[in-house]
Amino acid sequence: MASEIDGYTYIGQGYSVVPVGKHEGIAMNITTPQEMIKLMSDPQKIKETVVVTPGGTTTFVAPILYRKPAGIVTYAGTPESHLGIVGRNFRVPIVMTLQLEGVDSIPDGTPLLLECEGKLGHVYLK
Amino acid sequence: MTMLDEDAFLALNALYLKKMATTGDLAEISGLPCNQVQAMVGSFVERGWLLDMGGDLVIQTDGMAQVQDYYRETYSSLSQREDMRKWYARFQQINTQFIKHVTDWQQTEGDSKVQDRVITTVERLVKLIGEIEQLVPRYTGYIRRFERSSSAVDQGNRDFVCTPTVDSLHNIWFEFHEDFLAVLDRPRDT
Repeated sequence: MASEIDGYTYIGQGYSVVPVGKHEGIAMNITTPQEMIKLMSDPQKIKETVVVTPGGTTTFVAPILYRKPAGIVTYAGTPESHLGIVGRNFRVPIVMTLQLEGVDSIPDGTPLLLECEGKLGHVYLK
Repeated sequence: MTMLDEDAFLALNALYLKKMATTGDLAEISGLPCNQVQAMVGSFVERGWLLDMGGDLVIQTDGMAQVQDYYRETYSSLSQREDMRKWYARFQQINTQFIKHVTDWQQTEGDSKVQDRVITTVERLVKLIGEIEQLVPRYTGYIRRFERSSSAVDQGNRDFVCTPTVDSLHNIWFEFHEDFLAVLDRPRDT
C-alpha cells in the first residue's frame, strides 16, 4: 500500500467489498435518511459523491447504490452483510469498517480516492 | 394521528421496507391492484409521505412515522411475547447462514452447489415463517414471493438469487428481516 497516490495521502483501510480498482469522489457524511433523500434528488451530485456513513447495518444507505455513487465508506460492518451483497451486485467501490490513521474524521467536501483491489480497501484524501 | 387502513399500510410498508420502488413494485409486493396502489401513491405524495423522483418512489419522514405507528398499534402485543423472541433467535441463526451463502455465491460466480445451499436456506425460512403465519397473516405474501423467486432460480434465472433490481431471494429476505424487526420493535443488529 502506497502512502501517497497522485497527490492523495493515505488515511486508513477497511474491508473492500468488490475489487473495482481506484475511484475518486467528494466525501459527504450521511447519518440520517433525510440527508440520504436530499442527496438522491441530485443524480449528478451522487455520481461524484463518496458517502461516508457510520454503520454497515444503516439500511437507509442501500437505495443510494441504485444511483451509482462514486463510493461508500462505513465505519462498521463487513462485506458479509446486506449492504455488501447489494454493493457487490452494483460494483460500487465500498470500504467497510474503515480504521482511520492520522485523522479523526473525514470532513464534508474532502476529495477522496478509494483503492479497492483486494480484500482490503485503502482510503486516501487530498 | 389517524392510523393507516390495512391496504394503505401494505402499500406504504412495501416502500418502507424496500427503501426505493416504483408503483408497480408496490402493487406486486403488496398484492393489491395496480390502479388502487397508483391512487394511494398519489394521495401519499400529496400528504408529503413519499417523494416521486421520476417514477422512483422514496418514503419521507412523515410516511415512515405512519408505518411505524401502524406497527406499534397492531403488533405491540406480539413484540412482548417470549415465543416471538425465541422465534427471532432461530431466525438469526439461519440469517447468518443465508448471508454467508449469498456472499459465497457471488464470490464463486454462481457455483451450483452454493446455489443449492441458498435455496435450502430459503426453504428453511419458509417453514419457519409458517410457524408464525397465523400471528401475522400478511406474512403469506413473503412465502408467495419466496416460492416464485425460488422457481425462477430453479429454471435458470440466476438474477433471482440476489440482483437488487428484481424481486430476488436476497431482496425478499432483507425486507422480511426488516419487517420482523419492526413487528418486534427492535433495531437492526445484524
